Amino acid sequence: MKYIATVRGQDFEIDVDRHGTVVVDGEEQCVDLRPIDGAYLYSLIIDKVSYEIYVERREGAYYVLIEGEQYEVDVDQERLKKLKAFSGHTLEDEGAANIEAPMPGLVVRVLAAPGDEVSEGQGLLILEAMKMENEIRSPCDGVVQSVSVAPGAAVDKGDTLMVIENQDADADDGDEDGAAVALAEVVDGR
Amino acid sequence: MIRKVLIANRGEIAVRIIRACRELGLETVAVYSEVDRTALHVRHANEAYLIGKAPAVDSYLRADKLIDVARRSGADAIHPGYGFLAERPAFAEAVADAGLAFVGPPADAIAMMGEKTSARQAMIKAGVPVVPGTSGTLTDDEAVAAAKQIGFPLLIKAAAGGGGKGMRRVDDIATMRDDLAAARRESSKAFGDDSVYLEKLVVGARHIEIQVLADESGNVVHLGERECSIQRRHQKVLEECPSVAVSPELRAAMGESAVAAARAVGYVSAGTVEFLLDKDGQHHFLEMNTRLQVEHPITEFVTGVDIVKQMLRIAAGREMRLAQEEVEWGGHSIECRINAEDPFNDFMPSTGRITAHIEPSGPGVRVDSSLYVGADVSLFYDPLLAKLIVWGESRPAAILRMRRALREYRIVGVKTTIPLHQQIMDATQFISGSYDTRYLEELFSMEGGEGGFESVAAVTATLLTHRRRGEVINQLAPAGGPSAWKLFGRRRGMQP
Repeated sequence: MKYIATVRGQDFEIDVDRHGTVVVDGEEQCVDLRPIDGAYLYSLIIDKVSYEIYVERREGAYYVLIEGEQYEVDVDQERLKKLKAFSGHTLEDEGAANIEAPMPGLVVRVLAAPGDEVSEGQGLLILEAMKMENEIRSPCDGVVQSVSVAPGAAVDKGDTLMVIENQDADADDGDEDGAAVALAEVVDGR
Repeated sequence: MIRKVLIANRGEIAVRIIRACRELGLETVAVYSEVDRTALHVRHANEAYLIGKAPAVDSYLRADKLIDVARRSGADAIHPGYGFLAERPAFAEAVADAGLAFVGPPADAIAMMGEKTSARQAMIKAGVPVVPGTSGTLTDDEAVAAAKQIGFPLLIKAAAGGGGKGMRRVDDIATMRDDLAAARRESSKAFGDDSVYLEKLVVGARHIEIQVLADESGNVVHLGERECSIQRRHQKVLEECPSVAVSPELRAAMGESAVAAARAVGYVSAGTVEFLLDKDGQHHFLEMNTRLQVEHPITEFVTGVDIVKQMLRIAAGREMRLAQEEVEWGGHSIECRINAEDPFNDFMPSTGRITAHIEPSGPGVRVDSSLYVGADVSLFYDPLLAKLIVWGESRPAAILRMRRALREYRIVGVKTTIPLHQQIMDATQFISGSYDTRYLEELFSMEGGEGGFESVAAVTATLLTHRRRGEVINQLAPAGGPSAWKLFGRRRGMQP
């Protein structure tokens, strides 16, 4: 599977094959990535060089913390990236977008209800944090699947506020749960 | 004589004080709010008492409950730590009235230093240099006249002041009257008192403080300076000892000023006198912190004096076993404050449960911390989670050691300021030592790093995307069957 990973304006072409061989911009690398706490912390050895890194996934992007610096990484499948460039549309990786609270705060208003069609960039709800009102916008075109909060609710950072069903979702997304289970099995069996 | 000490605090400082008590053979009594039942200070103490709900006003700020617990537990002393009730004269007085030893200064010394204009006047009288300005409160006409004398830029400060409220910078005489009115409005709203005074704004100053120790017999010594100029929104972020800007002569002069300041208010116990050091090397009294300071460990590393043990000794009415000429400074120490804040997102407070935690250790490293796996970081209290302190034989050695220790530190579950400290330790201006209080906010940026790990980040994110999609389950399980490690594990499992 070929991917394009974009970091600080730089594109990397990365090919991961069935055997786990990783080829970065045409050069094969020996990569061993292991979860440490099962959520954020990873040990990574690339061609015998050892790193310990934190990884967080938010709003479809990865935030990778290495040696005190944060790198935001966007990963696209090569064919989707090409399609995107061609059509000018954003295709979300996933079937459903989880709208999470970017900060602890208070829900002031909810602007969309289950079943509503929303477009990318449309305001979904207003969150007040530290006396400032922040509009939370939809990352994609889609239909509101569920709303988890009501006005007046206090939310923590990372709480799910809303789930949007992405209309342009691609077909392989059904595998995701299966993949998570399979990965857990392998990790346990180590 | 003190046998049992109640620690009226929580977090890392409560743990720090319990450690000193243990080493002195003193019994310890912890207090806790409902959310702190499993906190480290509760688990380290000999006894622990629930004192109320999570908000500090219902627990750690309840003087009545604290004194009641002291009575019930048979404690004969209360250590307030820092924050909470540490600098409330009424609490120190209530503790003394209850027949308990307050491990801190007398109530009137706290009160005298807490009121800005009275502290300023006491310092002028004691011959301690203060920032040029007016000594008492002023009418608008007097203020305008005085402003011309002092020169611009200057600060209008609330006499009742604190926390930056009622404080305004004035750059030009033209806006003076408007600024005065605004400062009075703010001050009257915040403190119910609109009296103000003027101080020259010392541009490009360093914030340097002197640690003092005083006992009831009138012995006062200073333990030298701490450099505290790395600040964000008037909050210290890291401190070092000694300061590159302080020569032995200046240390002696500032130490003498600090000792005079302490004597002027009849100070007893550990305290800290804060000064501004201007570009010409002149020091000016700013305020005195009448308590144990967060950053006390760097002084302990460099002088070898255990400040908390000295406080306990002094509170028991004994003389310090320390003369000024015995105080020696060796090597260099740095402290990084590890806060639950996201340095990549405007220092937004971060809350959550700690899911993984590895503390740095090894030569020259000290961690004063309240963290453990399973700890909940809430919005109820201070964001300070831990202090990482290192010592090195020289400043460069200390910086290199701090880099090493920060690299070992793993806190998972909340965002922390560890990356901020890593970037400061790499910043040319910090390394050169030529910084003042404006450095962190005006000249430093979290985006200023050199990068270099873009490809590593790209590979990591791509592999995780790949795994999420379920294309390849594991690098280590090639299509041929289970990995050699797995087989090895199974074989070992079958052995008798």
